Amino acid sequence: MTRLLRGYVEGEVRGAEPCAFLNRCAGLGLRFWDARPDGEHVLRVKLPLRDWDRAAAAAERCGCELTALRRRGLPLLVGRGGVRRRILLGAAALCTAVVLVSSLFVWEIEVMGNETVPEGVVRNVLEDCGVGIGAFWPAFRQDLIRSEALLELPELHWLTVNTFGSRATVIVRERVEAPETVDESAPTNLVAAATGIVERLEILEGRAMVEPGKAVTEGEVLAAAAMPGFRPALRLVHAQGEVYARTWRVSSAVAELEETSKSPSGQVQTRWFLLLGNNVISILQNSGQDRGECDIITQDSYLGIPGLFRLPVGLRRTTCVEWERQTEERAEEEATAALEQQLLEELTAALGADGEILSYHFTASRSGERVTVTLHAECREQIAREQPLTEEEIQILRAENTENTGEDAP
Amino acid sequence: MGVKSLGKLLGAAAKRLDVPEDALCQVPRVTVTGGGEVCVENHKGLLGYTRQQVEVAGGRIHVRVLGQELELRHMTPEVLVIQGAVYAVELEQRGGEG
Repeated sequence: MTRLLRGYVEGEVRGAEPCAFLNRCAGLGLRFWDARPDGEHVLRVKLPLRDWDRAAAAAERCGCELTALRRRGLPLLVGRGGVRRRILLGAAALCTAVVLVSSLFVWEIEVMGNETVPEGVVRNVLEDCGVGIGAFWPAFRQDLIRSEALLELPELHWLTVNTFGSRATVIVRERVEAPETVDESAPTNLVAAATGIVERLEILEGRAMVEPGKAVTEGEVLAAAAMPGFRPALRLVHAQGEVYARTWRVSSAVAELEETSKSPSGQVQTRWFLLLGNNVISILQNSGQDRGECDIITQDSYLGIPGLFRLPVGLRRTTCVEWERQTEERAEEEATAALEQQLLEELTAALGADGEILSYHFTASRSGERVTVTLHAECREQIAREQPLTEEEIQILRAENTENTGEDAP
Repeated sequence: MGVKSLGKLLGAAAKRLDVPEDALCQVPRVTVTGGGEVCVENHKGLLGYTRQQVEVAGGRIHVRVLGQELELRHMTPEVLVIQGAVYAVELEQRGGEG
């Protein structure tokens, strides 16, 4: 390879003593290789292009004649062509050099593995740590980057930066928060989540405060944490259970009868920008003017091989598709039906798997260009929810107990 | 003291001091790799060269490489590399020494 880059000549040595030529070359420090006899007084040998003249002189002194049979190598390729060919070869060499140098810098950063931490936040922190567009990646110190970035981003517990050519891939792992533990020994009441009539109780722990057929309001205690006992007279427990009740729910939704939609006007404008690193330079200034409302589609194309490396030079094409607002009248029946469907779906989702809708009806009213639909529904649902006692409530209960029984508070 | 005597003296000294002879005297060191390559160090030049035989001068000792399709791969003032199908390497003591 080196020989081809530097160029070499395959020559023929003719004379009485071709070996003397080889000895002389070795003595003079002239490199040669692949020397092989081709007859009694003929020898073929390969010599570097730059040593050819000295070798010819050496051959003459040995009484031999050195003839060039074939010349090969890059210098000949460059020298043989005309000016145009030399310019092309120069441009190719320059491009190769640019690509090689450019691949030592980061021109593309991809962040992977983040779910809750925004990509922009990770990028900003990495830029502060020296991992930004245009950074010299051979100087990256993984351990330093990781420790600095993790200090800035406590939500992450691991981070690594892999570079491949001019592309840096940042892989992060987010910290998994420990789940909140429920204290099952904390004194807790069961209260009603909605107003209704109790149908069925399944109290596992605590003192039932209601019975089937009784009406309860939202927030009313269904099962109390304070349990009467013999010794001690008061026992505070974590009330648990399910209480099913008939409830009545009313919900409303509103819809406009006039709908505004976008309609393309047919005007499309394209603008071009030159991308140089982080800079965006507008070219062809008069290629378009900003109009009113339009959708802007931006497409960036960089020089390079996708997925392998990328140069910091590229073109941005911005296409502006103009649109006009169009108002459409919507049928009242259609809007009402859509709202009814929406309200039913919302109610079903709110009741969950334990609840059911026993009966329902809708009322609709129109005011101007607006229609309002109201859902009246009778449901059966589980209304008990846990409500821990406050410290103050516990103190009051204990004080009452002491007063009534004379027993000391535990 | 002649050159030959000096060479002989150095050879004896090398044996006494238990050092390689080629470190003190200019004797060739011949390395045969497999059956396809012969490397001669400390040579004094080529004496003859055909496709079947390469004769190398080595001071007191001449080295003769016999084979087929022999080719001088590389040659510097110190090292000479011959490639081809090597059948034999002969050493010939010159001037009645050794």
